[in-house]
Amino acid sequence: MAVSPLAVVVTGFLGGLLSLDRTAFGQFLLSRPLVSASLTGAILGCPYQGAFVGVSLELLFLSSLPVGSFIPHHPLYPSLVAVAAFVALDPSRNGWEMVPPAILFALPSVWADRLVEDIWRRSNDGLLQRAEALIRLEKIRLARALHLTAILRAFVLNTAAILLCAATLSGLAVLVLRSIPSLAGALALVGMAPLLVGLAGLSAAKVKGRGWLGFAGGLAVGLLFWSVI
Amino acid sequence: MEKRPGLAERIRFLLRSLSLQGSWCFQHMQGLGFFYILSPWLAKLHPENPKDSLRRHTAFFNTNPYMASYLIGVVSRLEADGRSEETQGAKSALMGPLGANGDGLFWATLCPLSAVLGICMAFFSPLAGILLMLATFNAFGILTRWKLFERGYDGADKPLEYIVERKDRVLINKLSSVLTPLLGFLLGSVGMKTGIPGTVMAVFLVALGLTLRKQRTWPVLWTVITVSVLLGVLGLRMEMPWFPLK
Repeated sequence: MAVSPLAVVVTGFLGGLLSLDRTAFGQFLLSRPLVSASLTGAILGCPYQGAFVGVSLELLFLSSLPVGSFIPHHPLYPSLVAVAAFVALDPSRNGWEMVPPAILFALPSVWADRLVEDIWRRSNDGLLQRAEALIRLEKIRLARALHLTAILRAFVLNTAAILLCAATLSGLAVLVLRSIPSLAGALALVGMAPLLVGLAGLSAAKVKGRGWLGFAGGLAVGLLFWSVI
Repeated sequence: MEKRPGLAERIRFLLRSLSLQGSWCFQHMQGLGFFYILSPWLAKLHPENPKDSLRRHTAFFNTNPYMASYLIGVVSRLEADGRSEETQGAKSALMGPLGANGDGLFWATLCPLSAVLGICMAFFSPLAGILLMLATFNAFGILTRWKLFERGYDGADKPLEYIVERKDRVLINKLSSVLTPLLGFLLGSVGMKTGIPGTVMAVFLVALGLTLRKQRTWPVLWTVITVSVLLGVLGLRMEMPWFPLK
């Protein structure tokens, strides 16, 4: 068990790129856990564990919506940090026992994500003032460049924050599990918690009125399908 | 005189609209992004003095990033027709309804739908699941951006008509009716794959769902995690991976 500096750096850089998809550029869902965790896992040599992290965290955050100026809890940081923590906890990258602890130790990074997003948005207020001054001076190209500067700033801020989160939370996970090795077994069920809570929350929000009939029908099909298969 | 944007210009509008929120700030929100999208078009329309029209478009602006294309179309047309004084009114009147409709359609319906579709497919192949999720959401997202720009540009004389039609609401209802059976299927699949009987899982999730209607997610999540840890300490284990990824 040891934190891999290379894994942390790769996670940080990839996280910086994927974080642009969240607000600054695109919104193609590349920053969702199913994509970001699977991609990070594939690059770090644990694609299946990465996909497992992605599936576990995806549903949990589906009801956090970026409505208006509200900054919701976004799952990008925990998805990436969980994969980096898994690589630190299981350097062979073959096992599954360390996936639930990695998810658990990565969850607090969701608050760092929100904090960084808030800092970035506040820092853009200054850019707006400068852009308006440049437009008054008819320096249109420079004003446009400030918009691109804000996107670059989002990349740099998120890269640094994800690097920091991956290094500290992976280090904490290694420290705790080295001290209490039996804890990993006790955390085996924890990997299911985010998915179950997410599925329950989403169902509670979306299934209403006649929707319960469709929901029950889907449940029956799911049970029957996997029994037959 | 009307100056209609050609294909290259419409592609440029589409690409630039992807960065609408690139400089999101609390003061003018997407204002600088809106300026960035329109600036080449305005520079072309008013080559001698683009300053005044450009300054107008750094003003407060906030709407759903996918639906913004409609307003970009409306404003481009109004500017091309020399009706610059009407642009701020159109933006003020439309950004709220477009934002509400877009958030309901994209964030509250299409995003969960494509994610649940992707997870259901990931039971068979994780890669196929990811691709299905991205394809479902982005095909719709890019098509919406492209079509709404054209609709806005052509319908700039009656910009509220699109909102009054309430087509988004109809689409949200249709997509929601697909989402609920998929959620049921996912629940049944998770039940079967974890070995927990589907009915037990359903009762557990309904109870959890009812709790979540009254409580916020995070306290419930930490409670479930604590109970899971206690069960683990008492010796309850589950074979990993319960999700069939290999």
